[in-house]
Amino acid sequence: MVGDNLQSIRWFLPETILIVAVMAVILWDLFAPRMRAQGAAGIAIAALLSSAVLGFVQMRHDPRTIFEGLVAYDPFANFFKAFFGAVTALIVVFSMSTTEAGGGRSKGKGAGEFYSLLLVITLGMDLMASARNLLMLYLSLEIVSVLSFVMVGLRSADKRSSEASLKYVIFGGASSGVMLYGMSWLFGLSGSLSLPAIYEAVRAPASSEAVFVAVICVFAGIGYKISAAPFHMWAPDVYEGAPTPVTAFLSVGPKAAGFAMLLRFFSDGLGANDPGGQEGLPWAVVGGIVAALTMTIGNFSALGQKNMKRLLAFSSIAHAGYMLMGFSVFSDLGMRAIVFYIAVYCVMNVGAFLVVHVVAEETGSEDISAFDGLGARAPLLAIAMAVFLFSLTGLPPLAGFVGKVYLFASLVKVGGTGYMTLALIGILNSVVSLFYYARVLRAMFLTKGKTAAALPVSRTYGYMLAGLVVPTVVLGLYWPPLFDLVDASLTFVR
Amino acid sequence: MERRTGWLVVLGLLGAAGVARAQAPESAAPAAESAAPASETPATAAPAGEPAEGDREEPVETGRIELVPPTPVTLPHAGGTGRFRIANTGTGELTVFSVDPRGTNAMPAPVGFTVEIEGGVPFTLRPEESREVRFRWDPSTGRARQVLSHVVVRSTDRANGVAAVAVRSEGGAGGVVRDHILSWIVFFPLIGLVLIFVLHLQGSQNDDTVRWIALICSAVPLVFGAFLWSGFDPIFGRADGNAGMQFVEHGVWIPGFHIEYYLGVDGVSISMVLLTVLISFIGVIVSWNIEKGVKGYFAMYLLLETGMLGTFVAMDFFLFFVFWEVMLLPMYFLIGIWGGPRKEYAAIKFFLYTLAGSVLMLLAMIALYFNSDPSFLVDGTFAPHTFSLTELMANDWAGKELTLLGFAFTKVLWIFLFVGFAIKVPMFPFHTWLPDAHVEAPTAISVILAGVLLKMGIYGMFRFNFAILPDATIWAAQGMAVFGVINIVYGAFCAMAQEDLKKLVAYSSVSHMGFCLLGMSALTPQGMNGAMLQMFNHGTITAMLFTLVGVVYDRVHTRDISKFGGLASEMPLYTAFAGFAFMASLGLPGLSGFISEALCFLGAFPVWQKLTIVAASSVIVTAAYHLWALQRVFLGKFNPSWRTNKYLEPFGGRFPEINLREMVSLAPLALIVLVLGFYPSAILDLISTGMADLKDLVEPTEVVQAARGAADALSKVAVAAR
Repeated sequence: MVGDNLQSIRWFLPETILIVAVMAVILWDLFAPRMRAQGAAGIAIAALLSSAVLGFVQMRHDPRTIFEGLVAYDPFANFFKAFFGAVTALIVVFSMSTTEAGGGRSKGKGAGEFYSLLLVITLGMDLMASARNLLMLYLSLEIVSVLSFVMVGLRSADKRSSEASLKYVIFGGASSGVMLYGMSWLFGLSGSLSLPAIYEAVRAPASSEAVFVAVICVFAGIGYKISAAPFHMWAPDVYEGAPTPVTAFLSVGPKAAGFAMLLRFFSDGLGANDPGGQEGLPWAVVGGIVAALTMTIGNFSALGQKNMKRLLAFSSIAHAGYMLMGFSVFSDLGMRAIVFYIAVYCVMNVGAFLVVHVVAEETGSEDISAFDGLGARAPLLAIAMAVFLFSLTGLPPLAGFVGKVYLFASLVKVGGTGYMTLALIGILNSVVSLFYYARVLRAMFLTKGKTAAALPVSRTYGYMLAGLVVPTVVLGLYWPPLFDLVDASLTFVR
Repeated sequence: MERRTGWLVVLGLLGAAGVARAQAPESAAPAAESAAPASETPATAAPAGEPAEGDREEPVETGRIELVPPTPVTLPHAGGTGRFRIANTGTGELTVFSVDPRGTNAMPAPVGFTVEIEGGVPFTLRPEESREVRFRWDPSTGRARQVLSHVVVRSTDRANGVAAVAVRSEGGAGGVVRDHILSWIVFFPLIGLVLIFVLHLQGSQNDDTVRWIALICSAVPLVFGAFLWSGFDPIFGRADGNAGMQFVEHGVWIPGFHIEYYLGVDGVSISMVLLTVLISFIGVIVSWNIEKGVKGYFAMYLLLETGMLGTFVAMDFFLFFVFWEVMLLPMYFLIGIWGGPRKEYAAIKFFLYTLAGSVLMLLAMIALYFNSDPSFLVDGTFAPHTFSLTELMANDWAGKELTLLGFAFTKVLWIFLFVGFAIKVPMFPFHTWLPDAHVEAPTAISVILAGVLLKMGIYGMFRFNFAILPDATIWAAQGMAVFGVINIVYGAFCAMAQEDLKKLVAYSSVSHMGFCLLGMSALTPQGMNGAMLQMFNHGTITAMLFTLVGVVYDRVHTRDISKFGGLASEMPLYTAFAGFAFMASLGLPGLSGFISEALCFLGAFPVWQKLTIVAASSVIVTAAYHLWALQRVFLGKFNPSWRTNKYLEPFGGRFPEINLREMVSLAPLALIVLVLGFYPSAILDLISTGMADLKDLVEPTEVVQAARGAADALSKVAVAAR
């Protein structure tokens, strides 16, 4: 353990880069004579990609704890640093031309806020994946949450945006409060805030009911972040009201950070991954019920949606449900399946939101009906969207299918009536999800649009889409490199 | 992106790389210490630095086996020898019990593949000793023309008690194409897809180029299929080696998940491959007059063809599943974009129904994988579980006595797999997607749907339910027979009630597939051969029927039977073809349909007497609706209101006769139907050995059962003795 705070900074380089970049973005925004928006974006991308590369390189290093044991430095944390850096950089490119981020009509106004907020959220996400202490978990969760509240409300002229932000605040505040309450019980039971001490206390608890209540309360906070039922109610409104790049970011970044936190908390703090670690404490059953609920609510609610962003929000909830299947079983394969699915889900989901954004910019509507006739107006865009939608459904030979196979495999490998029933619920939900994804396909290819004019797609977006379609297809045919990376990342410092 | 931000990004990346490199030397030392021991496959030697176990007092055998070299060995096609050494790299003694080609009594290694070791087995190696093993491949001694097998070494090594070296024969002098004929057949249509995509990117508007690309990319697999037919050995069975598969292509695809790229044909699949290449080619000719969205249409069509061909030749479950699902995508678009009035409804209904079946199959696949016995991948690596169908067939699932969801594992899995395939057949009550999909699909897609896709359900039942889970098949056989008869009778009565000609043909498909179910459920050689032959015959006959319906629909855009009448006087040549097709469909002796139906009845009667009587009686209903439709459409009075019909105006109020393109699409099918009516051996010879092997699995004769039981018991004793 690296005790001294100053010494720990050496192991805190990706985050330090982000901190420096925040200040640089703010200064640039204040003093730059020209190119306010592009410069800020450039600084942000450079910092994010550097922190991503650093995180990736650091995966090879020994695990250790830093900052007096509050923060972990292990392959798991470094993998997620790399992941968050890459994802946020993608979102920065996504949002460069939007008005919230200073592009287009704003002529640079708002760029500094937007990018600095994104950078700090990324810092928070990095901390969420590395936190080993209850207070650190809570702090990092709050950094991400509070700044997300702000980002959701950035479209200040739009009432829906402000409404979404307020709903997010209320829900997030309540969930964090419940989580803090649960954490206070865990502190009371173990006498310490650090996960290893809680692990020891949970081995021989004074009262296992108290542990159960405490963990459920903590799960409320984490569940809200990953939009698991019954803590998912904020997602549709927030996703619909927020600017599309922010929605895309929320659906992959903080959700992945929530899962990272979930994995570390249950593995290090409660020993759910230990052989026989689930005896006496009903995490499997609770996880299974939550997973089934989340999938079902997500998929069935999406059936009636007409707004694309709400539809993708409910689909996002459903995908959290699929990942929670891996959590319910919490085996080695289950954890790898979750992290693998996070990676491929990020690619598919950002792609889908990108297409929604492009169509919304041109047609001014975020409804499914805006997609009418897209197959004729912009065939390549429609094909890209079809690839993302089929991948989200889980059809081979695309990456989403491989992710789902791993999740189901983790359930079937352990076997037993409970897990097989969960798997059955999972596969039936996949079929239900096809119905609403196909509604978009039908609008694009099977319906005549109001106009037949070609829909222009800017070159940046074109390259971004190509850059997202290619991994979706390639990973469906040959995925061992990604799986080996995920496998290498699943080492926690104890 | 703006250029200056791009420069900032590059600078940032360089900075990051520099920082990373600065960090690296510091952490190189701790990184080296913590180098995790590489996870090696048990078939290769453990690193030399590990401490020896032989320090204990008791003389425990701590020999460690190493096969040198451990890599796969390739022998020449015409025969050759190879060698490897068995070395003891441990500190104790190592006793080797057997060195054999990999195979069991049920699935032996190819006859020409022999292994010899000086001094014979068993033998004991002291530490640092080694002995040479020589193996020989001589294709002239047996029927097998390739070997893809292993030499298995059983020893007392604690970690690698069973180790293997992979042996394969390289391709013959046939060159890249003939050595990998199956891969070429499966993936050649994708070349057309890529070409069409390139044309689209270039902005070409020439539809004719696209049509010719599609035609050529369907014709080439047809030519390859003819070559496959000529090179196929009809008598080659499982006893001849390679699990009875010919033209095998076997490689490792995803080592971590033990997924292989495994293609092969045997008696069960050869007729289907030939059917698919033929129907796909004819489908392109039938699609020639598609006018809008030609590029998209043929792109999806070629993708569909690849999916269909891949499904029939894939011998790895994961690979099979990928090809199976790849078919769904293009079908959705082909029905949904180029279909009739209710195309969206039909397309999504088809997609949802088939996907529901497929996900059940997915669950069964994963369950089979995790409960399968250890085996070896084709390159010799040890695989604790496998997706390979030939390996799964060799597992004794009933003997494992597993349970799933509280019921017997084999029965639950059988039902999961069966539901998935039954939806495709389509079996009552999962058939409701068929009338909609067939009616709304464009003509060529109906041809493919009825001609090929329906057969995949029955093929899947043969390849998975029968071959992998034979005990559960015997348990479920009566249920299959009952549902088969329901299909026959219900389908026939529904067909009789139809006013839409295409829907009538669709229900006749439901009815005809019932014959397959009845025949195969009897588990007799005649029944199973009859079912397989019925698949092929129905494919050709129904392709003709749908093409003929398409002919008249193209002209007047209606299929309503009541509007027609007396077409024989307007289109005599067309009537001749239609009459021929209808007669074939109702099973007129002399045409192919009769032979397959008769075989199904012959096979089923000894086992399900009452059910067969009911089914045979419904042949009357079948004849009834066919003849009635024939009479209502072609005979009788011609409706004079046609003379002023707007569609017939360019033709002066007369129906234009069937044209050359349509005849070209019908003629090959008609010829096949005619020839097979008198000479069914053309197909029966191809399939009989494969079906006999399959029948052996499901209900082995007493002699085979006794022999196999004795031999397997012996091998179990040998393994237990170590």
